[in-house]
Amino acid sequence: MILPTKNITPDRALLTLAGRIFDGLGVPRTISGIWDEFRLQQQSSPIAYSWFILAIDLLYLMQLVQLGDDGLLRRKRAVR
Amino acid sequence: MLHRLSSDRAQFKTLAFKPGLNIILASRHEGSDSSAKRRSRNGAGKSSVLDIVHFLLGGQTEGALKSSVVKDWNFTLELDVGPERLAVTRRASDATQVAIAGSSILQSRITNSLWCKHLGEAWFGWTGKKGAGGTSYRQLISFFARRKRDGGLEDPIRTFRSQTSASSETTLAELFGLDTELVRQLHYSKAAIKKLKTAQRALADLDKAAAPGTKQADLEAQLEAQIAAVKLGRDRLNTRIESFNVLPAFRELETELVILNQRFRDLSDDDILDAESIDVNIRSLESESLSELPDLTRLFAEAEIIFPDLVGGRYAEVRRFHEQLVANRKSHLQTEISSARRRIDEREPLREAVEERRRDITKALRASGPADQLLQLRDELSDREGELRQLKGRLEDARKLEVSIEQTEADLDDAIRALRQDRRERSAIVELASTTFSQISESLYEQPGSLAISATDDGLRFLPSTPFDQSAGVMSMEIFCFDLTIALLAQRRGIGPGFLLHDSHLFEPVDGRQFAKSLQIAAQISAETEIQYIALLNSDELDRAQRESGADFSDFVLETELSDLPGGGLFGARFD
Repeated sequence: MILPTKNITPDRALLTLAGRIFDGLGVPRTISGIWDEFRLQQQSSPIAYSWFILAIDLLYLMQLVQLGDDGLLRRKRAVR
Repeated sequence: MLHRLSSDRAQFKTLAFKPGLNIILASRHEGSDSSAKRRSRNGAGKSSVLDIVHFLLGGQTEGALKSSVVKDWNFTLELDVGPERLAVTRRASDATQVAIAGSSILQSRITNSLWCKHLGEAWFGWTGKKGAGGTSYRQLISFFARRKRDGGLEDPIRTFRSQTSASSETTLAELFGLDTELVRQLHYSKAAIKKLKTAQRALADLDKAAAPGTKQADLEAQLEAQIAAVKLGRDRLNTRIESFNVLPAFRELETELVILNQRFRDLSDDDILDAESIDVNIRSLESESLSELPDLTRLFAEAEIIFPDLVGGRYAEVRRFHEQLVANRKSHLQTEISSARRRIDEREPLREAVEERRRDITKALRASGPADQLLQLRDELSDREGELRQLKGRLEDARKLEVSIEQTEADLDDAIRALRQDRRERSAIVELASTTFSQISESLYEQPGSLAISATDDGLRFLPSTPFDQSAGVMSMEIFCFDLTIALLAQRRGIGPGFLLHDSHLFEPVDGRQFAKSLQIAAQISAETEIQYIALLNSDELDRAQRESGADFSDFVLETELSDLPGGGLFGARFD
């Protein structure tokens, strides 16, 4: 599911979606805000909300994003 | 000249034509039984000869050619076209194409419309697809082979029943060598005036005030008078409304009412927007499945394989993050919903206040009678304004129409003058035509008939007449003389197809002596002029003519004879 497989096309693989979401995180945003914009972009091939959340989970897992106390999702400062 | 009519089917009776007079005979074998009587007229296929000749000269699929029996038969006509002798082949099931053999100019397969264009060029000297004045080749050629089915034997100047004067007169002008374009212009102007007058009448009908039968010329004046009356009414209303407005209190109330109305509309619009957002958010809450942990487990498992260094043993942490996301989203949607609800609630008292004030003002305005009257006056004023706009538009239309009509009438007068002038200048042609017609009719009746060609206000009239107008078959003999005149004049000018085809229907009403006489004239003229004359006759009619006149036409009869016996018809077999 992270990488494309026989059943998951490259543009639906979580890694692809995660990259797209990460691109849009120039400024901290609410999950709903990201979702609304993401849905508009994906109008031609709709993605389920749960799949979208998994893509954000993946970003977190890769230690690229964090959720602030204000409820906004933001990029994590690079520590590497 | 036509040489040979044949088909690729052996049972078809091939017809070989000669120069001069050709008589194709159809013999009738009338038995006593009713079936023989029924087929006595149409069995042999005389009219089919005409249909096939027309078909091969670019015409449509008609008569017997429509039958499914012959739709795949190839018919071939050998004929002279210009300097060439060529053969054209066409079949009903593939009528858009014709095959040409023996031509150095044409390709071996061309479209039918190209074939028509070529014939128009070769026989009538056209360079384009149509002749001057919009005449078509098919209309011209019809005067050399009339068909009874189309109504071609009912009037000398028409080759089909519903032919308009414009079409017949331009065609005849072309054949006689008169100016076709002038005739076309005249008829065009006439048609245009008719159309414009219809429009004018329609416009007048709109005008309910106009008395029935009002003269067209009065339409403009009528409209102007109406406009003046409506204007006066409008100005009176304006004065009355202005005098009403001296009460400032009323004006203030009115202004406030307008503002309140706008305010109320704005509030309603906002409510609708909020209600929509509530709806959308509730649907999102319901439809988004927010906690599917098994998927998260799978994600974690996969990530451990793909990024082993990154993941470590932090599943619990990821799970907490996931739940936080979901909770955030849920609370965000909830917040949106509740704030929209709050906004609606907050608006409620405002709306009520506006509504109340509005009610008060309206009541005040209504209760004090004058305001009611004022509103009514306003309504009336806007009605008047609308009426005025409509009338002005109609007046403008009427003026434009009148100008167009005057212009077109002037065009028509010019066309008529030009046509008269042209007719005068070409009097030699007209005289020749009249003389030719008189000569032919004289040899038929021993007393000359006449052909007048006159340029009138209605167009170019061709008026053939023969002596003894009461005798039966006079129309037939007029057509016979008229067609021969056309063929002779065309031949003299070096145009035309070089043949003339008449079938027995033309001669049916004529008595035997005249019939024989006309065949003799045809034989004589065709011998002198190289115009091929082809007559399709019934054998008993020819017998009658020979018996009554003592003449003998057997030299002219073609070898191939048609009959209504089984296998004796043009197509070999009979079908209906």
